[in-house]
Amino acid sequence: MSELIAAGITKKYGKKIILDGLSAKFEQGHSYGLLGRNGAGKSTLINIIMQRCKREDGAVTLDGQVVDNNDRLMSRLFCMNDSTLYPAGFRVKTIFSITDSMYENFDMDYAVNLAGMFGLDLKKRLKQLSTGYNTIYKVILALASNADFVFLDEPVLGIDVNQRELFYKILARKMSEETSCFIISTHIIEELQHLIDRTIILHDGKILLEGDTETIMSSYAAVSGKAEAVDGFTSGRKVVCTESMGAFKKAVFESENFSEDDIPDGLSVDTVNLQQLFYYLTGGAPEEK
Amino acid sequence: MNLSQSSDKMIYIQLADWLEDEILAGTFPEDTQIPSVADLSANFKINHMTALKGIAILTDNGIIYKKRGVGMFVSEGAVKKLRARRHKEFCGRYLKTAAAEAKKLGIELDELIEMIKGEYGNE
Repeated sequence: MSELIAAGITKKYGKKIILDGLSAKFEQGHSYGLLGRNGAGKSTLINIIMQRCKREDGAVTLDGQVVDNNDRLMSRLFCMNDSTLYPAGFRVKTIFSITDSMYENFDMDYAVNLAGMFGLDLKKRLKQLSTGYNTIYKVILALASNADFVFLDEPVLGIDVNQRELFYKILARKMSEETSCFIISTHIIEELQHLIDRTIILHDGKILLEGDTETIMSSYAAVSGKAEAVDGFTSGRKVVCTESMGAFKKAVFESENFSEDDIPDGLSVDTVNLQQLFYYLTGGAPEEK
Repeated sequence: MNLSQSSDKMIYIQLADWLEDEILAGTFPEDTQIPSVADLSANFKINHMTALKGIAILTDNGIIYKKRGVGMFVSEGAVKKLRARRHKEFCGRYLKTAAAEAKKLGIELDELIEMIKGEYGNE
């Protein structure tokens, strides 16, 4: 199984540190969610791995070999994001053909089939595509690339709910073939959380949390009820975030060594899903004024 | 199709429960094939490893079996087995919660029994 490693990556824009000596490992056979708030450094990390962006420090290796200036290795990586690599006058089918010639394992029949499912007209020029289809044609290329590692940076940008459902279904089926390792960066975590078995949360240019998605989700819980009772319950436990409303309080805590019998009367304990956990770990909502 | 996003149950357990429910309901009769891992993953929009984990619960309990190169099939006697197990679990799964909630609300036992009678008749 192949391994893609970004080690000690540092990126600065002027004096601002975007990535701070960050290291991440992607293994084939897994699917990754790369999560972070706006400006956390997700896209920068992906662009650095894809050699689309310079870095101050660090290395990117594929199975131990440095990928820099190595076309053979780079052709095993595919990335779709909001940037467009082709002139606006190009037709979608032309771009399909170009991608087919660049990626050894690209599956043209599959790509054309997906285009049909999404209702994408291959004869259209890029400039004629709506926001949604501008994302869709790139998602199709990524799915059909069959590259060893496929980065999907905001794959549902501008896509309506029906097409999103279709996309997740196609992605789940594709994942089950285990041809590509998908690394997905998105803000719509709730829709994705059961598709990714590994989670990486970036915050302020560093990795805040990473690991098996189910393990992460089961490591935290939310307790709520009367504020004093919640405080009593959480004292001595590691609290991630709290929210209050009058006498009511909710606290997200690390639920290791915790059993349901520990819950005092009047308090309720709930699981937290990945999106909620992400929200709490990255500081909750900005204060409402 | 969606599995619950908010349930306390892990998604692979929800999938196993769903498969069991459909086997009990006769959607997937004994000796017939159940949907493939790819189909289950796609329909529920879940990772195939998660789907495999859910399926493993049923294979471990002898509810389904694998035919190499063909797929997964419902075992003979699966319905009987599932019924027996669900019978055993019934108290812990439903009655305990109902009794606890009834106590919380101050519902007397005979009142609760009457309610159950009413619901049973309605089904």
